[in-house]
Amino acid sequence: MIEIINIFAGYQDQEVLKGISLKIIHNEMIGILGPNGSGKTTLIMALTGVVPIKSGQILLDGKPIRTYPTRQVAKRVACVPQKSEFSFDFSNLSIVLMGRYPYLDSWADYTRQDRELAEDAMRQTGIMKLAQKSVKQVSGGEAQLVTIARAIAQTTEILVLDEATSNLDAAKKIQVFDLLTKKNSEGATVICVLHDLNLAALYCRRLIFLKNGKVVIDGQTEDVFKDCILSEIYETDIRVSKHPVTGTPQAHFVPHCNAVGSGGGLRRTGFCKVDKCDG
Amino acid sequence: MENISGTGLEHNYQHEKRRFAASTIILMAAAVTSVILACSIGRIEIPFSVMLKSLASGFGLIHDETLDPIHRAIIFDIRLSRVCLSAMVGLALAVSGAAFQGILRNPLADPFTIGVSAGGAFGAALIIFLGLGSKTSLGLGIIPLAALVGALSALAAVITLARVDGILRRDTMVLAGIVVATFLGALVSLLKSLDEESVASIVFWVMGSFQGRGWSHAIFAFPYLILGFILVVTYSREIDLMSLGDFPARHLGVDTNRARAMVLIGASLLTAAAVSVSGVIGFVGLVAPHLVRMTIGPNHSRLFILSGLLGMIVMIWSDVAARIILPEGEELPVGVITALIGGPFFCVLLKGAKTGTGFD
Repeated sequence: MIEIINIFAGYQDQEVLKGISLKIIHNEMIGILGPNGSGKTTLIMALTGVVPIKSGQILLDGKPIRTYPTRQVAKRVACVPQKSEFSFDFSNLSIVLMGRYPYLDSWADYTRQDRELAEDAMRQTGIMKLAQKSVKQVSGGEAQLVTIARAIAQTTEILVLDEATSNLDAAKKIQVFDLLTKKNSEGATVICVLHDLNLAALYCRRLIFLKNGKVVIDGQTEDVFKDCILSEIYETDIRVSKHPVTGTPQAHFVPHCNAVGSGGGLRRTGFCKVDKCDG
Repeated sequence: MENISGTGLEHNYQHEKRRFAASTIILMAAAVTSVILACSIGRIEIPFSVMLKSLASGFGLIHDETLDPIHRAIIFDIRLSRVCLSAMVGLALAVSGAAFQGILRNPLADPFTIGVSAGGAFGAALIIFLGLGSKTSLGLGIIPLAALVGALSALAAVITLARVDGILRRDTMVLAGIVVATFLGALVSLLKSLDEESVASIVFWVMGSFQGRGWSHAIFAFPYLILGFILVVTYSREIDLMSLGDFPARHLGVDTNRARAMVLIGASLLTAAAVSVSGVIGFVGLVAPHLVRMTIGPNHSRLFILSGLLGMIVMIWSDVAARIILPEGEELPVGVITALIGGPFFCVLLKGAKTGTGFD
């Protein structure tokens, strides 16, 4: 369980998180959403213990996360960052194997079991055929899958993903989130930062919206995924309807202008604004 | 189907492991052969069999009354000590180059560009300039000690310059290194122009040389070399992980600040050990790691071992060339040889490599 109590965090003079409190219990599947610059990534970095907080507390199972040795955190929390750097020509398999580092004894090499877990993780993310290729020779989307496989190979109870599927095509996005759902049903807690509202609504049971470094709304997906709430947070016109198959709410953005009419020019459409949220 | 690909990976892993073992054995054999052959080359002709006997008796393996004590002294005390010292320096420079490149993720990082070599050269030049070169401590001149202090101070200066808000920035570090190296280089030139008499000995420090060095130098440098080598090899896996970036490495459980500090200290000790006994020798720290990385990949524990061995071999033969290349019995600074061979070779390496240097 992760408990975040009134944290402030940021870089140099700039405060990014301004008093965030959250409770994340075991086996949740949470989407963290919000406009650009709202503090999503900083929140993820703070709650995984890599960005120091200026005040407040982050507790992992009741103990401040900073009191855990780095390796102990890595055995419990895996993180897929927004962007990965690959400075050297490692094979994708070597990159995935790095997920086994927290379990290594000093001086020891990765064991056969580590290699099997890494292979298994690559199979689950569907990148087995890339195993021997250099990580610098694969596409951006494939590199994201490699990083996801690394997090899976880390075999942690908590999986944190920061826009981990942003470069993937629609089918791969679904494939990855199906995999995360499977991990969740097997007991993992999944926390993902997303820009894709509909993907979040499809897979996450709880959504947390950030704006300007604060939590604006936090609740069950069907309770918070509403026209007026989304429109206000993103300051643009958004309508919600039911997904034709699953029935989960899905968002539709309303353009301010629409290319309608024979002239081909842009013309203001007459869509009316959503009514103000009541309460 | 999946099982087949699985065993394919396992097979591949075993294959890579064997390849590394084979490369290590070949380079080790080449290094030992180089040491023996390099002992047989010199201005005074000594038959190969006498040379072998001298070596054996020097190590106390045989007692041969017929052996000329002068031959024995030339082989064991002069040539072998110098060859061993050059091997040590080659290893130190290659490994520290690989470590600097790995931890700073910069293909141009090496003892020279990071300013550590220049610090050592300045320390030595200052002592020569002050006329203290003949003073002794620990059984040899004070110069190696001054070079060691200079090298470590330069590193401290570079780290201080590169720290922004308490965070060491790796890109700033190379810039700071170049600034410090250039500044210290200018100071060395100043010392040279102020004192015409010491120009020659300062030049030999700036370009690197093993002339007149022997066992006492090797013994002086040995502890720093061993300590530095153990430090960087201990953290080789952490260097692998830190190539993903600082945050990802920490997410995987690496104590990045500690690892970076240890590797920088280790690599600087290696550099200081080398510079303190030989002066500034360029290009070995660049060429050897790049060549190995292109051949066996970026895995740092393997990289350190193989580039160390390669550095040994390159330095042994560079020093042989420095000893005998001029006809009149004059010696060249060995740094001239490594730069003359290393510069063009490095260009070919960069141009010819299909997979690049292993860096972005």
